[in-house]
Amino acid sequence: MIRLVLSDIRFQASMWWWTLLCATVGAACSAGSAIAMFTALSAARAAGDARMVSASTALGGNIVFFTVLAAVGIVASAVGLTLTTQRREHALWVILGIPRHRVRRILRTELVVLGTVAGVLAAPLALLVAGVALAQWRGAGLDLHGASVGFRFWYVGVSALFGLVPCLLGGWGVTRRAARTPEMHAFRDHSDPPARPGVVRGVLALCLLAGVVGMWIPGLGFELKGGLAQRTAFAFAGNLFLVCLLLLMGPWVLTPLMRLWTALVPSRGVAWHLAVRSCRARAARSVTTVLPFALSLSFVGLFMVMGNVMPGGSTGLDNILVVLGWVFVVSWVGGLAVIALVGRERVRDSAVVTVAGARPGVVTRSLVYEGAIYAGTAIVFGALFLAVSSLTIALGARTDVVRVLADLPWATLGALAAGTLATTCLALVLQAARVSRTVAVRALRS
Amino acid sequence: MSFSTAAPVPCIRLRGLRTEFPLPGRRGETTRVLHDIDLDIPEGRLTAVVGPSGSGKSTLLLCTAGLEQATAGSVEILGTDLRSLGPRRQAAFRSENIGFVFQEYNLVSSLTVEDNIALPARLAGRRVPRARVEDAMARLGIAKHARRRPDRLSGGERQRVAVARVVANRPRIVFADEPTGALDLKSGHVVLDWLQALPAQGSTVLMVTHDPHAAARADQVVVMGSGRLHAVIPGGDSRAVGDAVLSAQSADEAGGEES
Repeated sequence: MIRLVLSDIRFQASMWWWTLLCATVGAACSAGSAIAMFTALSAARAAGDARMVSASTALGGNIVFFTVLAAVGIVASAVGLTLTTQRREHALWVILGIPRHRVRRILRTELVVLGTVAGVLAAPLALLVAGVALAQWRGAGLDLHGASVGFRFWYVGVSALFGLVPCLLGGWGVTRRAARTPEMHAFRDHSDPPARPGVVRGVLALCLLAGVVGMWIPGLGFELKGGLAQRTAFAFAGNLFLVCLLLLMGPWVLTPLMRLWTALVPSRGVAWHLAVRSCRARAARSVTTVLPFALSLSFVGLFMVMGNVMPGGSTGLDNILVVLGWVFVVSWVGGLAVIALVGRERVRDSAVVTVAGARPGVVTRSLVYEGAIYAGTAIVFGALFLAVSSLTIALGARTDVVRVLADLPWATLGALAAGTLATTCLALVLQAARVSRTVAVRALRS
Repeated sequence: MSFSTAAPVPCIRLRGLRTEFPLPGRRGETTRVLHDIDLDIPEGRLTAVVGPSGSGKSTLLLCTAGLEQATAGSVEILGTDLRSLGPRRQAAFRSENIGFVFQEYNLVSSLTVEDNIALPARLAGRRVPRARVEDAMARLGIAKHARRRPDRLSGGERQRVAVARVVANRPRIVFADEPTGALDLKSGHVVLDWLQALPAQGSTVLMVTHDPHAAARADQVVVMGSGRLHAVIPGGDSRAVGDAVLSAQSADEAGGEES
């Protein structure tokens, strides 16, 4: 079995490289944030500084929470996409006589190998991340009592854990489906029927919805002992649950959003038409691509609104980066990895379009538009979430929502949106360059 | 070797067509796949190209269509020297005059059946009347799949969509590379019936096939062997086609042993 696992990984190397990169970066950022928090905590305890202990716990806890949340979500979806893309090969294994339970075991072993390797590779990077994080915290005004990061053996364990868990979370359901799907259904590359939420996702969604309601009711409706600060904190927490809920239900939120706004674009050009159809047809791929960017943009929006409303709060990008810097790194790497992962599908479709008589540039334009659609969906999602969080947090803080919106750093938000657009379009321009070098007929024959 | 088919005006004229492919792993070395082919294909006819595996049938078709670059020689289609056109004009020429039916991967996977049928016209910057798309789907028996994507169709249905695309867009030339190779007998017959009917609409069809029965449906059959034209025979007799292919194969083997 080990031989089959290794040979399969070797054969699919080009695909696994991107997943490995994504998992390694996710593990490095998560483990690095955790190591930084523990280092700061132990330094504060050694110095007997109770204030710094609670500050490190609060700041470090937030950073670890957001980074781990982003890493698990993004790495899990990238792993899921990788396995889904390979389902034809897995169907062939079943056709050739490998029992389904063994296929499942092989795939899960692959995930364990991938996660462990990513975790181990991430260990030295995690130390680097921890070092940078501590420097950022110092820059933000925390007295860390000379805390510095040195190597400890358990860091490798933490890193391996952060490598392994997202891979298994992302791949568990897919491996079960891969072993259940009728082999000829997968072998003929039939697309799955529209996805349903499933029991686990459904339960988790209900819990998050309860969290939204449970936080918004006191935050927006009650007079609390803690005053406006406590109401605002509840409203903030409600929004946090909301963004997690919306992204968990990505296929049922991001896909309709993408359909809606692309339908409003009046273009009749064939390149735009191809791009829209491609994004809509491969909803799972599109959601996985949009998700990292939507996540980082909505987190930034939420933090900026909160920083704007809280007395003494800040909406500067430096302060946002202290908390969300690693979320950005994971999101951007994850988003680019997903775009690269599905390049093979694009090559074949582009070849058919070329053979049918597409002028040079049509395929490139359609790929760039695809990048714009991904970025546009993330930006529209981020903007809508920004509106909701501004409204609810303004209600919680009993302040004017127009003032909250007016005081937001729109130039920074605009730059982030432009950065998202440029990143996805650039990634797809690079793919378009690769596609244009491919002779169409050879792509169809391969 | 040169062959000219009799009667109508040739709409495809190949002169000295030569194709060499680089040998993988051997820098600078090439293998010749087509040897200075001269061939005229008449307008408004179904012409089949047959031959043993590796005889260069598909390469001939792809070079003629401008999808594969020939090393030397000329390809004239409808009076236009295809090799003299730049990529942009070649693409425009293709979308306006040429239709394709391949063995597999004929369709853009993200487009619905009706979108796939309308694609060549959209690429050419015009619109196929909706009634014509619907008529083509109805004639090919795929109207009920209009809103489906190719991955929800069987192999035969996908191939019918490819044929419907040709029927709706009415290209002047249709290139078909093993159009029935992946189909069951009944689906294969449906596709062949339609390819055979296309010349009546004014299209010229050049079809590559392994199947002597399919080739026998053509007005004429071009037999290839070892990258050379072996013979051009009239269609209608599958046995004669089979014999010609075997003869080409024997000639290849004899040539191979001598060399």
